[in-house]
Amino acid sequence: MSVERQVNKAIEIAKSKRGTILAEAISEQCKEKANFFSAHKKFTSDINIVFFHINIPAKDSVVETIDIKSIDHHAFEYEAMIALNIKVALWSNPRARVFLITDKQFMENFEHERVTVIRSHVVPSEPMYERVMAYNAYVQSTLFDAPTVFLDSDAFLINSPDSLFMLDFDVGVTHRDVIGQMPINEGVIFANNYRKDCVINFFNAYLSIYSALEDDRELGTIYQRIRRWRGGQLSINGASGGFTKYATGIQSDELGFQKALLPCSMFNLSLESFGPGRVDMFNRSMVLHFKGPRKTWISAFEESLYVQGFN
Amino acid sequence: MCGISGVVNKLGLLEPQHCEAVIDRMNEHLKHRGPDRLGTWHSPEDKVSLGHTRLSIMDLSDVASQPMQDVTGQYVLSYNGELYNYSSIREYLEKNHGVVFKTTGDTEVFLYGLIHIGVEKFLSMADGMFAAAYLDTAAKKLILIRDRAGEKPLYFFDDPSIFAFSSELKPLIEIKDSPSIDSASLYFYLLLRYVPAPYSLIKGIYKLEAGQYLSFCLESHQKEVISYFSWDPDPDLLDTSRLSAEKAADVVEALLSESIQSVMSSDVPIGFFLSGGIDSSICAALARKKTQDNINSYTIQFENDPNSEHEISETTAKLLGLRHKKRLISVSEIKERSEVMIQAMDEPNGDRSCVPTFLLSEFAKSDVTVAIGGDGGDELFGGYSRYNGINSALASSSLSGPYNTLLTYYSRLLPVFGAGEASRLVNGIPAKSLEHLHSRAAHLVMPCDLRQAIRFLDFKEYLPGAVLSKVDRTSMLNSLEVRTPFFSRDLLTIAAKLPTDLLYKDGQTKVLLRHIAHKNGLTHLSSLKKQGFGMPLSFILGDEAHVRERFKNSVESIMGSRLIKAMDDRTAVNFANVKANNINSIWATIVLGEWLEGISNV
Repeated sequence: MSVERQVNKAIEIAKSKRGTILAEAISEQCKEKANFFSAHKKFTSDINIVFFHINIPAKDSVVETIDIKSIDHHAFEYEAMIALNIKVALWSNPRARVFLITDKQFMENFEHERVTVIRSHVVPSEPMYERVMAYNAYVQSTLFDAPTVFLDSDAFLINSPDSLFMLDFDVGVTHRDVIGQMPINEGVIFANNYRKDCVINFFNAYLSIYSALEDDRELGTIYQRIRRWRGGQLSINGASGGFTKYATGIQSDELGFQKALLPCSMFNLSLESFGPGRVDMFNRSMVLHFKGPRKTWISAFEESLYVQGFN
Repeated sequence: MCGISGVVNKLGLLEPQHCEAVIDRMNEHLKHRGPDRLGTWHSPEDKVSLGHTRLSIMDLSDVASQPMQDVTGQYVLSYNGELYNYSSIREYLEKNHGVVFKTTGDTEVFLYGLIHIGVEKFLSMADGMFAAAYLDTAAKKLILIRDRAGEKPLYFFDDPSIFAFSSELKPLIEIKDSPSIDSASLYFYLLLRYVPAPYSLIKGIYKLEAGQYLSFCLESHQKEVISYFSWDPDPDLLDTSRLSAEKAADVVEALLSESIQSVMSSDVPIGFFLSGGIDSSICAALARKKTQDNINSYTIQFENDPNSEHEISETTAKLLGLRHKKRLISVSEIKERSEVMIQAMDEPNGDRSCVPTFLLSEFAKSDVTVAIGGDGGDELFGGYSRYNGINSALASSSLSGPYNTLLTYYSRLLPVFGAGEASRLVNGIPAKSLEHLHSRAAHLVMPCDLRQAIRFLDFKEYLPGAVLSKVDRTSMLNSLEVRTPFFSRDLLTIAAKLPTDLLYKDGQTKVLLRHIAHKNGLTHLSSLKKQGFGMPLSFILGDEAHVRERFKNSVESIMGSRLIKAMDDRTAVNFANVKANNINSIWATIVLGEWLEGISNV
């Protein structure tokens, strides 16, 4: 079976698990985590930016699946990358604050007046599942009191999302049309906070699909150990509707939320090439995403930031 | 071109003979779309009936008639359109699936493509304009399909007892229980001059959006609408430091030339619409390179119109050696024919170029069955004059945010009634309208360059809603098929990759198409400004008494319309003080009133 057909099959399976009811144990875990997160509330801002990152054991750091060529996460300096990412996000959004949800050790000495570091207990070998769980807890916590952008460690918020959040939607996800890749990318998610229950519906769907997929034998022939990699990506595709292609716009979802389907080219741009001095993306996209091997371009990107007045 | 229709008798409440009669009536309504043959297909077991009216273009034999079944009888297709790359798909199906074709046309290729390649995959391969209904009797699925740009229309409604669809709105109004005007759609009409998909002017009747298909389960009666194509900015723009405008123009010209070759394929005579604009002229110029045969081209000239482009089109025709025909239209003829056209129009469209397009189609039909036009060139290659200064025009809006930017665009740069008056007339912006506008405004979120972003918005809204519906309906009223080469998959792909400097330069629009025009000897066009194809102002402004009379009668028709009153009484009353203070709002009122008058007998 071709990669495209396998990916489409996996999405179809994810779609078949759509729902917003979490298993009792998972629901309890999320609530507990949400209470723990709420205890970190110190101040409010106009925009919240959420990063999740944990240290992964060396034996689990290599991703190699049908739709991703081999990547070893240990090859990248995540502490420096996230430190830069936070700095960029706060520079492009002067009225924002950042939440870094992580484990006990990552960026141990990091401190910033506009950054709240939340260190919680996690299973290090299950980073993607832990992230979806953390996102769910965040939207249920009192921290979710402003429009929020959830970002991958390598997804840089280079422009303000203020104008996006003026639109009437609950959750915004980014879509692309690349053969053999899932259409919705998990690396950038926007959540508006004025209908919190609707946002929770989405994040419950995201997590409940994830949990349901674990036991699916057919999916097990396509992706293995999904709590580690790919399960989150697959679940967000299911939670977003479970289609193989999307059209830009805002739609009502039967699960009880308004979803904004946003083109990756404008909201989650992954360039095919990058060189020093390249600045055109600052006028084109809200987020610049250095997926996979593109991370090696981050230093060139940093140089281009200075041209834009970054310091 | 053709008309398609169908009914699913969901609860089995209708007698089979009644379903057959419904399809016959819908076929009668759609006869102008396909006068050559009326076809029906009924399955009492599945409670499905399909209809088809055929305008024979390719494979004129009876074997190619529709609705068409496959050899097993499991699959049935009712199809309206042209699959331009049918030859290559046919070869693929013969080679890989052993299909033995009985016809030489594209319908059978469309049918077997869906069967063997699968719906989504087949649609991703298909190059063409089409709307289709595809039934899988074993899987109990009815699938409705619409092409990428929305060239061919498809309406449907889903009532408790009936699911029905049709190429046009009017046949569905006739069979729908208690039809009324939809307030959100009326708001859109007043704001935009057309009703954008997925809505229609009638409550509960929807248009399938361009690039979508709808899957309806005959057993559960559940339906799902799925997008298979969305024209969005490509992440990888062409790099102008490596590719000059001249080179980029060469690439576009090669793709356009290939597409023109495809759209020229026909078993009946074809001709070209030739205005004074760049798009239609380039199409004719590239066609000229393909053949030494005579090429017919058509244009119209309005009497006493100082903006008429006929002289430019005559120069173009002379340069290209076309057999060019011009028809002079008098003011009195416009008055008379516009009334006829509006009453016959399927769904009201207040675009002033409907009348000239109708008259041009009527003229071309006297010689040919297929005409090639240049629609789509403006959206793909940045042609509208309003695009060029759009950043500053919209930046001056006092209200911020993409929703306000969108309303300002519609109210200032494409003005009809404006958001305020449109809202007053329907007693406040309906929630559905608000949702739809927010959805479309997702294209205009900053930091985008509006000159870029607006193309993608117009491709999804203005192009199918105003332009392509105008072309389809006015040409179909004359049983003429109009094709455009601009929507091939390859052209859509490259147009989505164009950076701003390949669209606009030194105050000019359509940089690449101007290069192509120049290179092909059409030097007289390369610096021309876009004129548009609207009715001459002399008609509307030159005979005030006539306009006032029609406007007054239209307002009375709107106020007295049972369809409007079925929506609510207050809207009808609001029209007593309608503030139509520009040419577009006056014309939109006339079109709406006369259309409602015409539909009162349906």
